[in-house]
Amino acid sequence: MHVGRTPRALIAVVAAGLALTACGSADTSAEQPAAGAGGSGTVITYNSPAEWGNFGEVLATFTAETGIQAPNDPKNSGQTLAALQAEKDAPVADVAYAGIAFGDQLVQAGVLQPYTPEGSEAVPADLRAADGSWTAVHTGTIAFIVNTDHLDGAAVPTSWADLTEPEYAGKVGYLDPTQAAVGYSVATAANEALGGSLDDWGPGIDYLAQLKANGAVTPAQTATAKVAQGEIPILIDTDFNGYELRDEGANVQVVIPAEGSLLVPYVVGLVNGAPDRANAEQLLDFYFSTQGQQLFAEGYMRPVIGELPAEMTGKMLPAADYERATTVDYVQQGEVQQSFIERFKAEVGQ
Amino acid sequence: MRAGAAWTRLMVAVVVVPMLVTLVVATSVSFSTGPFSGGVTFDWMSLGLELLAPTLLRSFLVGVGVAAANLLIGGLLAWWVARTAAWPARLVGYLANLPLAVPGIAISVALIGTYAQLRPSGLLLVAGHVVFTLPFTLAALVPVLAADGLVECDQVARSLGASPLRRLVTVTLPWCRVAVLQAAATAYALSYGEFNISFFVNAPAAPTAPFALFEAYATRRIELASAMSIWFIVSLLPVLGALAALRGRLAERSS
Amino acid sequence: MTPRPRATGAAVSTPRWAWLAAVPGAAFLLAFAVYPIGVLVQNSLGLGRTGLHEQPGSTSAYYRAVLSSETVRSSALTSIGVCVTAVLITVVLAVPLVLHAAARSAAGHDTARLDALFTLPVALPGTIIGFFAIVLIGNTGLLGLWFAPLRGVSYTVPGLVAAYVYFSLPRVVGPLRGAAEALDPAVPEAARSLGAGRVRVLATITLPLLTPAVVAATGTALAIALGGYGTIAVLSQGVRLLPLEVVDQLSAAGFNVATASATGVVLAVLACAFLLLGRALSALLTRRIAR
Repeated sequence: MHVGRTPRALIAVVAAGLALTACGSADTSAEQPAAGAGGSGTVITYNSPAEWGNFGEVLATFTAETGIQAPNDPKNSGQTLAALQAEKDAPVADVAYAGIAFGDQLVQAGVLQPYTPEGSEAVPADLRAADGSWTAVHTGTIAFIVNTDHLDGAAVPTSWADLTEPEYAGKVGYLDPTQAAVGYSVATAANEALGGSLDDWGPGIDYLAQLKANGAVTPAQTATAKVAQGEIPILIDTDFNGYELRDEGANVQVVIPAEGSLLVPYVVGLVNGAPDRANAEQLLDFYFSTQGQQLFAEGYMRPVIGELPAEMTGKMLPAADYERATTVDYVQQGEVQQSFIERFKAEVGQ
Repeated sequence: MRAGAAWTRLMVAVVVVPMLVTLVVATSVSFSTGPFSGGVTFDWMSLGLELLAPTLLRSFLVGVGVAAANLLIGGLLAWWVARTAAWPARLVGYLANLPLAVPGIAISVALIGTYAQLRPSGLLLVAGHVVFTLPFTLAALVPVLAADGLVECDQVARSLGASPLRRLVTVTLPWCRVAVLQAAATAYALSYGEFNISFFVNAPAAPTAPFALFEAYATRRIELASAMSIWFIVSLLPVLGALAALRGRLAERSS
Repeated sequence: MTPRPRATGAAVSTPRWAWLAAVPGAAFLLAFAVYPIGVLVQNSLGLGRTGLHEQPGSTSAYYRAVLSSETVRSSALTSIGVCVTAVLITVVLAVPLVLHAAARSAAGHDTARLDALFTLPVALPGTIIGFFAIVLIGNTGLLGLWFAPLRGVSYTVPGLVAAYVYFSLPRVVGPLRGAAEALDPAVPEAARSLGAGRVRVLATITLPLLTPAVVAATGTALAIALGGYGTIAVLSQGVRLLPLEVVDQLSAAGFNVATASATGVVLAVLACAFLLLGRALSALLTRRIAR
């Protein structure tokens, strides 16, 4: 059976297609910088979306310095907890990043192991796990990220109460509070600002129900790109995401609500049974090194070691606005999340 | 006939228009205030290809592995189901169709819980995909293998003294050439775009293309996500087109 | 169109060692399909893995909680509503298409390219179809820019139905294309030569002959649409479907695997019911037509 003209042509087409894809991947790997400190391999962080703060640049700089690949991962804190538990018998991730409310839940699930990254001794005790399983790496503040091009003539909102007004109907979003740490922090922030507390969720739940009645949406993954393109004109998220969007060229304003807001620390931890422990330790050490903290600061993420440099604070909201942001007992916040979720599902619905 | 032709053209438009609009978004500098607002650019397309290319290669390799496994395991199974009139054949048929009914994400959770060790190597992903595509392979191969014409030819060859292997190569395989290609194409296509079963089984450091796309839809700009979608659709064309053309050619020859 | 082997002749030529051919397939199915589903059911009864806030131990509590949950019930109803509407619309769209394609193929034209175009979307993950909906009828979608009422429709029930129609189209056109091709052209020709009008032939001969295949394809397409997670994952903003409930139970703080498994089993039972119903009705209709 001789190979006729058509099969040969087909083989050529398939080969061309393969070459296209292989070329693409070869190009990408050729673009990777040569190994810096002679490191190799990969380190996988769960919950490191490229569009979250400047995580993209931080991981890219780490790869450039050490030669260790550090891919982004779009999971939110709840999905990270789920994935780590699901693969407990054969872990795939090395590092976990999550909102502080999930810190103790990760410890309870037994998916973290103690490790004190170099340079993290300076972090205050209330931003660290008692057994060293997790350490806060930076903090943000809950704020409105407002795309002024897509408000359809309405004024920029300045308070929590504003968002329940009809002119903002269908324009508001915040991440799912049952899964995402930032979403849960939004709920906590609203609750605290409107007179509630971690023991009394009444004001918060009522407010979220009002928002839902006004057409608010609760996406599960990082939605900052959706603000830039106008899909979600007003996103209640962390302030650093808003500043980053503004710097990227979107007509975005960051607003800290008048009634009050919340500081949200984010933590990192070493996964129990991490396949690439050495690489993971290098990454964690990098996060707490001067360079790492400085990189986070350049992404408007408040470092835990040292202060934000003046050139950054100059581009952010004035300190007076930030005084409206309080803290809560983050351990308790994590403990009451389950009962909050039940109330949220029952009274607000997703 | 004219009504039929008009309807067909309408349906073609329904299928193709979303892809064309995605192309428009992918080549706009900024889509937020309308198509081509800000001008035309290929920056998103090149960035999209850069991000997507390694995942496309992975999806291709998984797809080929899944198609091969389907033809091997599924082919043997289909032959047995086609030739056995007893109830075990019917039972196996129903078992094979089970993954159609059980939601893929549920299977995904179950797989990752029971076979966590197979996950890093990618074997679990291939296995999950084969589970999902097996019913389609059986549906394509069993009717052809059960055909009376094939049974007759096979019997004739047997009575002439041909060995089972010789009968397989010279009688059975040529008879179901078209169906085999159809099964391979279906298995490759379904595996390439499989998302549900892969959701938890997928390795985060080395995702397949549907995951890179999902991440883009959820977290990236719409222009970049559109560009990646266009590249995904384009990457389907070579293999599926080749298989379709080959099948058409073989169908012509055998008819 | 069930692949039922013929009882005549086939048994004669099957060698005794034929069952060996079934071993790899059967072993694979048992290991990777049956066993994991067993684990799923085990989890849902509390006998397997449980989440952080769930108590291990044999119990039907998870099923009771799931079946009595308002969110799950409304998601299930929305799922059934959206999927049934979508698949029915798909069938209405697909039938004229496959009949026309079969007619052209019978007339000698090459329909390979047309067939390929309509089966290509089966390789698209549900997520990309959700994305198509956003690009066309999302908040900043193209059609929404020209017709204001279409803005944001992708996140509503009609938008979801449209997305699931696109999702089901290749899965319905595929089997029906083969069925339409397999219709004996002699019967409608005979009817036409006896003076029956085109519409009459269509209504009384072609469509009834095609119905068993349509019913079976509907059942399968419904089962697949019900279990589809990708599309709703991308398009969910207020409207919730059942697969979303399964995954959210896992992602929600606590990794409630037992509850998620119970929800998964409920979804599987629903999908299975539609699948079996489609097959059974189709077999019934085939026998009636044969008579």
